[in-house]
Amino acid sequence: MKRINPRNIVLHFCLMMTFWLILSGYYDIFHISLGVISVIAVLWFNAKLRNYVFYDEDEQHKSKNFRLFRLFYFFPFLIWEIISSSFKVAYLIIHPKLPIKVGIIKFRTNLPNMVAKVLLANSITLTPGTVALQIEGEELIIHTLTFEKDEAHIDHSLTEEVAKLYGLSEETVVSHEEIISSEDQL
Amino acid sequence: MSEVKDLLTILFLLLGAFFMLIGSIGVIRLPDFFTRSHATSKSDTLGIMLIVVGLICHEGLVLNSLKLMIIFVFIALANPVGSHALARAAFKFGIKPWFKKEEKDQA
Repeated sequence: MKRINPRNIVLHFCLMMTFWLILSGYYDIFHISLGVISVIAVLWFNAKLRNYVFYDEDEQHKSKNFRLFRLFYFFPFLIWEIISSSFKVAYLIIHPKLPIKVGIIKFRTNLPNMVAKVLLANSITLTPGTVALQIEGEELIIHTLTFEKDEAHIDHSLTEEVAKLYGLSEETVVSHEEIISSEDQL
Repeated sequence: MSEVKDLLTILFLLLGAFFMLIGSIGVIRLPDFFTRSHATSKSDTLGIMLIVVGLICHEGLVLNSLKLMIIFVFIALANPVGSHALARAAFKFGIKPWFKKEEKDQA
């Protein structure tokens, strides 16, 4: 059982209240009080859920050196990656010869907690020609639409950014890369 | 001023529709499930985002734009999660990914 943190509840309340105010658009006492009642009801319903710990490992190593301000750089970077990846995939699809080279990449990560891994996998899904297939423990499996032989298999600028968010160096995050490019190796 | 606004709206909506079309063509042209999931996860995300941006341009700085911003953020979060969930389900089910034939000969 986790102790309920009053700061979290206030934060949660403020967030949901802003959401209500944006969606409702009526700013008189009647409608705002309705909002307060619904937000309190939702908090009450969710009280049990908040006690539940989804990943034990997260409790053990809460990463203290998460750099929040790095996010202001990370999100524009990610949006740029999304745009460029869409153009690349669009080019591959329109091209009459369909120049795709399918491969599966396996690699190990050494990120501190589950949230970081989710962030990495989600970012990988959004970036050029790669979809995260599976995360098992520390091993990530990725399906890729194009790969170059004897080159960097995955987009290292991305993993580097995720590593920097946690104040780690890139080598510790990605290791044991392995590529599968035919059915026999599967 | 309103001409610029309209122009931006038209530009973003057309670009968005273009990327949605690319995504749909990709679903038809690409060979197997996994490659198709690339088409839907990339082109469609950008397509929907551009359409939402176009609508924000049309609305201007009012409350509705804020609501559209929430949709934008939700799509950015939910689309990769959804495509990952589908790809993972297919992978666990044991669907074999498609590989190019020439590569198989080389190997």
